[in-house]
Amino acid sequence: MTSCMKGRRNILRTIGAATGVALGLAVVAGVGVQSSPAWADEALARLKEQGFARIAIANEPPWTEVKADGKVSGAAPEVARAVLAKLGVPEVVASISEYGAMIPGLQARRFDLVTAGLFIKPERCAAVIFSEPDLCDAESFAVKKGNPLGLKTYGDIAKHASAKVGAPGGGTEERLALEAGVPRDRVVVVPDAQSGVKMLQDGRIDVYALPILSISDLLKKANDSNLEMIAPIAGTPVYCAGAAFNSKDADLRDAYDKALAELKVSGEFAKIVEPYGFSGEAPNLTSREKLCGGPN
Amino acid sequence: MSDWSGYLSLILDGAVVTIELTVMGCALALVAAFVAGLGRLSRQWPLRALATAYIEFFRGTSIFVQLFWAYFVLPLFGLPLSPLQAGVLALGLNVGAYGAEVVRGAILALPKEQYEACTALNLSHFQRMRYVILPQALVLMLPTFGNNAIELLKGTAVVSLISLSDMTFQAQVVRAQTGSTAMPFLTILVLYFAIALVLSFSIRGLERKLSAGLDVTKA
Amino acid sequence: MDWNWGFVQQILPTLAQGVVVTIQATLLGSAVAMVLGLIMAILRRSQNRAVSGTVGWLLEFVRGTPLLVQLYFLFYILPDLGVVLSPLVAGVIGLGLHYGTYTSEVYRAGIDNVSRGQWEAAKAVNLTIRQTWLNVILPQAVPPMIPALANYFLAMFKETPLLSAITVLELMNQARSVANFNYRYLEPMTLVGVFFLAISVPAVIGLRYVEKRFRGPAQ
Repeated sequence: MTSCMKGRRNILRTIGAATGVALGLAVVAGVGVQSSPAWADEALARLKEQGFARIAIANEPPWTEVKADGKVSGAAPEVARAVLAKLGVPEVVASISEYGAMIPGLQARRFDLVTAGLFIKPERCAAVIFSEPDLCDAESFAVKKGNPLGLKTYGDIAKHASAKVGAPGGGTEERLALEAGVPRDRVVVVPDAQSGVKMLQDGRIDVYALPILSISDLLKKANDSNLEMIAPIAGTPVYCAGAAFNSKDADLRDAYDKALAELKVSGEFAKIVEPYGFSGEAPNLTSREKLCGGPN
Repeated sequence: MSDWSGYLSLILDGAVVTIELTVMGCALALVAAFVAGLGRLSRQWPLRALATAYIEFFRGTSIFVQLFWAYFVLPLFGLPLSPLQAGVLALGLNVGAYGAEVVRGAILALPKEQYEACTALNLSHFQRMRYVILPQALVLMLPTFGNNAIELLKGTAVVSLISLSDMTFQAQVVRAQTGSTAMPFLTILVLYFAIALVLSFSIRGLERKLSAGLDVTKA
Repeated sequence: MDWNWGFVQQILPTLAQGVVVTIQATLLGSAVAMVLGLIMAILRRSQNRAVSGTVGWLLEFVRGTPLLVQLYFLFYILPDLGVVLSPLVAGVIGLGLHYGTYTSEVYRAGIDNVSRGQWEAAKAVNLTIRQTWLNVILPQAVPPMIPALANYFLAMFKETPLLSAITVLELMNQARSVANFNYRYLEPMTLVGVFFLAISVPAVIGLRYVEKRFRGPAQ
C-alpha cells in the first residue's frame, strides 16, 4: 500500500466521517425541532394554534373505525371531534395503535389524546389522566355456535385444560383473562377484529373476548351462523371509557370535561353515540373518580 | 367484487407508501454504507471502531427489533419519531450496515495495479478516487446493492406492525372491510414481486451502463 | 428515561420463556431450510425444462416477497384450504421456505463449483445418479458452503420476531405483551435488542472462524 493511497484514504475517511456526523446532527436536529415537549401548561392553546389534535384510535368498531376510504369514525372519535370543535380545534389526525401502546404513546407525546374507548381503570389512572366517562359497555365472548366448551366466564377458560382466548394486546380482556388464571400461552394476542373472527372460525382460539357492542358488530359483519355471542360475563363489571390525556395536560382535560358536560346536557352527546349502539345515559351513572378509585 | 376498485385503490395507496419507504430507505442506506464502509477502511482506529460498532450493532438485530425500538423507545429519550421517520431510519441504518461491508469489500477487491498506475500517472487523491477507484468499485458493489435494495423492500412490510399505511397494512384494512383474506394478500404479493423485478432490472441496467468501457466481465 | 431494574427482574422469567420458543423456531426453521434448499437446488438443475423453470420462478417469487406476508398467508389462508397449522408450525414452514430459497442459491453455487470432471468421471465409472450425488458431488460441494449456510442460520434467528405477527409466543411477542400489560416499553424492547446482540456478535466472530476453517481448496 503506497503512502499516496493511504493519504487519499485518510482524506476520504475524514470527509466521510464529517459528513456522517453532520448528517446525523441534521437528522437529530430536524427531528428534535418537531418534538419539543415543553407545552405542558398550554396544551389546549397549542392545539388551537395548530388547528388539529392528534388522537390515538384502535380500529375496533363501533368504538373506533377506519373506513375503506381512510376516514376515521366510530363513537369515540366522533365524540372527541364534537368536543374539540367546541373547544376551537376543528380537525383531528388519527393514528392506529394497539391498546397497550396508547398510554406509553401519550407519555411520549406521540398523540395529544387517546379517544379509542380506553376503559378507565385504576392502574391506567396512575399513568395518565382521563376525562369524565363517555362510553360504557359490558364484556362478552364470541364463541362457536352452541358454546361447545361451555365457557361462560374467564374462570371457565382458566379451568379448562386447553381452551384459548383471543383478545387485543394491552386491552382489558387480556388482563381479565390473565388475572383469572388463564396461562400466558392460552391468551392469544389478536392483532385486529378480522383476524380474531378468522382465528375463531379456524379453531385457533375458542373464545374471542371483546365488549358487547364490538362483538355484535363483528358477528354482524362476519355473517357466520356458526358463531354466537355470550353475554354478560359473570364476574366482570360494566366498564366505562373516557378520553385519556398526558398527565401534564390537566388544562386540556378540564376544558374537555367542561365541553363534554355541555354536550351531554344539550342532548347532542346522546345523538352522537346512540346510533353506534351506546347508551347516552350510562356514563352519567358513574364518574371518573369512582372508576379510578380516587381523584385523577 | 364491484367494490374491488375502491379497495384496489387503497392497496395502491399503500404501494405508494411502500415505494416511498424503499426509496428514502435506500437513500439513507447508501449514505450510511459509504460513510461506514470508508470509515471501516480508516487508518485512525477511533473511526474504524465507530464504523465497526455501527455495522455490528445494526447487523446484530433484525429490522423488526430496530423498528420497534426506534418507534417505542426513542421517544423516551426525547426523540418522538413518526412511524414514517422511524421506518426510514430503521430500514436505512439496517440495510446501510450491510451495504457498508459491500463498499468495503468492493474497494478492497480492486487490484493493486490500479493504485500503482495512479501513482505512476501522478493523479491527485481526489482524481484517483473520482476517475479510477470509485467507477470500478461501484460496478462491483452494484449487484449486491441490488440485493440489499430488495431486502429493504421486503423489510418495509414490517412497518405495517407500527400502523404505518404501507401495502401490507392496507391489505389488512381491505381484509377487515371485505372479509376476504386471500385476495388482498395475493394482490400485494404480486405487487411486491413486481416492484422487486423493477428494482432488479434497474440495477442491472445501471450496472451495464456503468461498466461501459471498463475491463470487467459483463453481467 | 428511567430504567427500572425491579421491572427487569419481574419480566425476565417471561422473556426467558420467549427465548426458548425463539430457539426452537430457529432450529426447526433451519432444518427445513437446509433440506428444502437442497431439494430446490437439485430440482433447478433438472433437465426437464418445465420443472426447472417452474421451480426457478417459484424461488424468485418467494425470495422477492416479504416473509411477513408469506407468514400471514400460511397462517390465515391455508385454513381456507383445509390446512390449519399451529402458529409455530406455520412459522417454521414460512421461515424454512423463505430461507430455503436463499440456501438453494448457496447450494447451487457450491454444486456449480464442483468441476465437470467429477460428473464425467462418475459417469465413466457407471455410478447411478443417486450414487453420483451422494458419494461424489455433495461431499465436495457442501463443506465450502458451510459458512454461507451458517450466515443464513444466524439471519433466520434474527428474523424470528416476525413470528409474533402470527401469534407465536417467541421473545418479541412476550416482550410486547409484557410491555402492553405494564404500559412500559423501555425495558422489554431494550432487553430484546440486548439479547439478540448478545447472541449475534459472538456468533459473527464464530462465523469468521468457521469461514477460515472451511475455506475450500479452490479459494
